[in-house]
Amino acid sequence: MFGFFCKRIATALPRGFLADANRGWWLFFALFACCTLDQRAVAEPNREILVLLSGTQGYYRQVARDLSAYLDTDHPDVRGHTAMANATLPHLDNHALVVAIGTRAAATALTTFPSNPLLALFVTEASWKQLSIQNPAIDRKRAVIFIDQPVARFIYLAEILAPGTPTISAVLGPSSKAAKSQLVRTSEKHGVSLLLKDIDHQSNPLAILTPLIESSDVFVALPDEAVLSRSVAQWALHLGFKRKVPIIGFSRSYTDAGAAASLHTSPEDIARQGRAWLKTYLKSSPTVRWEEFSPQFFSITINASVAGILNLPVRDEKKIHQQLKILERGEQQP
Amino acid sequence: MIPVHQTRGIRLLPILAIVLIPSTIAAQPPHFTEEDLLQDITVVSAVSSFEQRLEQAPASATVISRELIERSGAQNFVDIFRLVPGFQAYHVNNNRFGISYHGIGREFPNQMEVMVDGRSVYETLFSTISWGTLGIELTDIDYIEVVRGSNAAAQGSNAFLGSINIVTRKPVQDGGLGLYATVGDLQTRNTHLRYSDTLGLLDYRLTLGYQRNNGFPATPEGPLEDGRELGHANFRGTYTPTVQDTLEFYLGHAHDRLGWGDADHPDEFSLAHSSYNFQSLKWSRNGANSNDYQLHAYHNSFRTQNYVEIGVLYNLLGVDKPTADFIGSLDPIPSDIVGLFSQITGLSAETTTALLEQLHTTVLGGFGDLESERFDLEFSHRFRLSDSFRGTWGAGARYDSFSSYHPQSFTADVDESSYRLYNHNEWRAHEHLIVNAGAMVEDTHVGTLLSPRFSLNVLLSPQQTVRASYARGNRAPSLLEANENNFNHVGGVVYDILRIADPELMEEKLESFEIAYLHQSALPGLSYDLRFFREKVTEVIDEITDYTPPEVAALGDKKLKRVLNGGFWRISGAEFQLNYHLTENTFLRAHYTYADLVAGQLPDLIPGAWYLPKDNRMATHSGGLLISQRLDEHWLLSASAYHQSGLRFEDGDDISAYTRIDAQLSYHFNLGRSRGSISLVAQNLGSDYAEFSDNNVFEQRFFLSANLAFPD
Repeated sequence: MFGFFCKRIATALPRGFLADANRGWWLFFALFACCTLDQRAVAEPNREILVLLSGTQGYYRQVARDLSAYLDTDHPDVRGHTAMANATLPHLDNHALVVAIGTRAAATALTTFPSNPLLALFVTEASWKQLSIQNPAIDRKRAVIFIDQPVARFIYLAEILAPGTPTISAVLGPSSKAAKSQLVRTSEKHGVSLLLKDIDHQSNPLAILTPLIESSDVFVALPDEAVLSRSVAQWALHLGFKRKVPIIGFSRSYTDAGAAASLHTSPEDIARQGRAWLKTYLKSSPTVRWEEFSPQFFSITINASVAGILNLPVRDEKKIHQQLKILERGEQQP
Repeated sequence: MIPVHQTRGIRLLPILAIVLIPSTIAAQPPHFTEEDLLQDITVVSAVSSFEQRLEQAPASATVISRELIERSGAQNFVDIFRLVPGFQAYHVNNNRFGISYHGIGREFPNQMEVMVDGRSVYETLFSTISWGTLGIELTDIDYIEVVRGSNAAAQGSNAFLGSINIVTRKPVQDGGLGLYATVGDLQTRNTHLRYSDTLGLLDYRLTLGYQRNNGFPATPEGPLEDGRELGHANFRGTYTPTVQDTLEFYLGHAHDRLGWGDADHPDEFSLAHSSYNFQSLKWSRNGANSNDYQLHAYHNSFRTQNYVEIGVLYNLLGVDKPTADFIGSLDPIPSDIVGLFSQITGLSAETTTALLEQLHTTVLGGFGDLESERFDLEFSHRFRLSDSFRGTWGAGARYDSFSSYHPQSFTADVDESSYRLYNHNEWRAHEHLIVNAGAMVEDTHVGTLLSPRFSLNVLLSPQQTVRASYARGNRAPSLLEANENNFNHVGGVVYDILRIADPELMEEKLESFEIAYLHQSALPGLSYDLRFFREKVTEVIDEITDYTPPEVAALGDKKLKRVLNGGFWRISGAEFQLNYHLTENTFLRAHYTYADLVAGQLPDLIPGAWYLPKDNRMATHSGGLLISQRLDEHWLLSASAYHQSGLRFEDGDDISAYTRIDAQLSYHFNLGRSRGSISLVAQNLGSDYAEFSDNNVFEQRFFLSANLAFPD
């Protein structure tokens, strides 16, 4: 742009005009100003945002509500739309930002608005990878905040619930086995023993889980495909209760069903991180990052009665939350 | 040169590729989305045959947890169901229980379905539940789901007024050996052992139990011989061949020796010997996208025998032995003697002759030999069509047989095949509105019955729900009700007529409407619900006394009870229940029921019958309060109060209002790796009261229980 501008000006000026030194400085400043103005014009974000929801479920709506409230309050100049992924979609300017909440919304955004900048929220790393393969990014701005918590945080939580050098067990399914190396790295660094077993759709869950849970101090249920997770949840919760081994789940529902504790990303956590990203984006900051983010925030839920029966050393959700953050900070320091 | 077999192999490749490609694609995991993370892991299933949270369900429900059973100090099922609003739970005899939801309190409550792990235990023999021979101990129970309100739409005909699903503990929930014993009043001696282990890839749980007691204390008229001696064995196995598949096996046997009779006539008690066994096999498959399948097959068999020697016929006729001997020596019996007896009895000369020839026959009472069998097969599929729409459908077939043999009474051999098809759907129409709709269609011996249910749940907030629900139910008569032809005879001479079923007997019909409010507070551990209901039942299968039976002649009062669709009742009222964990150690449960019953019989059906009002057949007020305090890691103290206003039991007596107070003190301890507890349970710490019959006097009772569990 700058080159094009200079060339046009140079050709438009009378011959010998540039020979005068003062004129040369004036021209330099004029060009600099134009150039700066041009830069601002490029960085100034489009003030139109579409919030696209995957479905009518409460968690999608809650994220959407949070973001809409933020935009209404802090950025009233933004022209906002909200739509369901499976409904009629509004016509959008090519530069309008699409905020997709959930996998279906992200898929719709990628196919229906292929050239618009995209912020995808509430999607798993696995589903985002699959979407990215199906819709390769060609000169398109994409940012994504994953819902799945880093597996290291599960190890920290296990350490808090079973202090000392606990033996932590987990089963790795088709989706969760990608986290194996990170699990091993974190556990080695923290000096905890890790028992891992693979599980797939053809496995006998009781034959795998029974010896695993019996030999461990904490069992971590890592999120995987629903069919697998449901089966693991059903048997692990029974076995854990019988053996007095705390089970760490990955959703509030897991805690309600009998897990001692769960680590998960709540809609509020996602919305909070999404708001922070939007703030940077709407401030036209050049620091806005078009990349993949792990969830910065997390929620802990404790099943008070199970924690009581298992006599867990810490049962206060806030306290555990703080301890986990301290452990994580310590990990991040060189 | 390529060998022939290799050539064949190469030729086979494209075919193999075609066969393998779809399976390879199928084997690729569907990508893991946020929905996998956010899936519900819930438990309640009895209301609509799929897992629903209480605020989503189309009917009111109570979940009785194992913890609640332990805190209550319950000794039997009567104690447990006193904890549930709307229930009438009472002892017909000390070891025969009447447990019903709403409706008329009677000896054989027949309008509620009871299932154990999804297996119907409703017995066609007595058209009720034989609670004693279920073959399970209270410690086998994991939790009980109680649907308060008609559940015929989900569980069929017998769930007319409500349903109970008793869920037993899975083998993986307990390990090793557990020993349990209870001693106490009424000469109670109960013991059982539970053993759980793994046999290869099969996890199993085995329970062996023995129960004995002497029954209610003696009455002024004499002892009540209503004791029991019961032995049972129960086996449950779980095999999980794959992540998606679970096979569960259930086997059980119970043998019961039970004192049976009408407490108003202590001299008529006799022993009933019963044996019960069941086999059940369940295959469940959890599919992708919340498509779950289940195939359940089971068989129940119940046999019982009860004979009572009433005496020799001449004694019953008021004839002395020498006279009877003299008549017996006559062949043929002279016509003047026949004429004399004919005049006395009012019987024909022919009948009187036959009767006089039987004067030395021993007359037998009791219900004789009864036997029932049930084979049931059901397939069900739970599905989710979209984020807001899910449901279940199923189809089942059932074969019931019933036989009765008594040399001097009711003899029958009947069977029935019935088929059912059901569907239930939940549609989240809006963030704040859930619509449930479902129906059961049953092909029975009285025709095709349709039982629909519809409800709207308005979610006012995450804590508050208002539900409006409408249901229609139909209950087909049981095999006994439809085929009873019960009269006593000796040598072909009928001497007492009891009951005869109307050959045109048809289904009972119910219409019910409820408005309920559920509150699950933001305060931890507080939940309560309030339910207003109105139920109307017509064509009630009832016994109407016919004072001039035309068909048969008989000695005595000649009254005949006709089983026909001659009753009706309407009930309206309110129920309330509250669970509150005040602190980590303090738990409170309260419930209350107000019921206004209008009930009676339709006398027009039989000449000479009169209108019999039955408005007082259900307690107008009933309620309970349980408070339980864990004093420290060893001691647990519970106290409960239960109040019931007076009522008249059908087949029983007018029973006055009573308030009963129970208490329990438990000490929990560890012995090495073993855990155990000792509990002292006091029942009815106040004054004596009666249940069902004036002679069933419930005095203060004390029980001492101990258990010790050795983990594997």
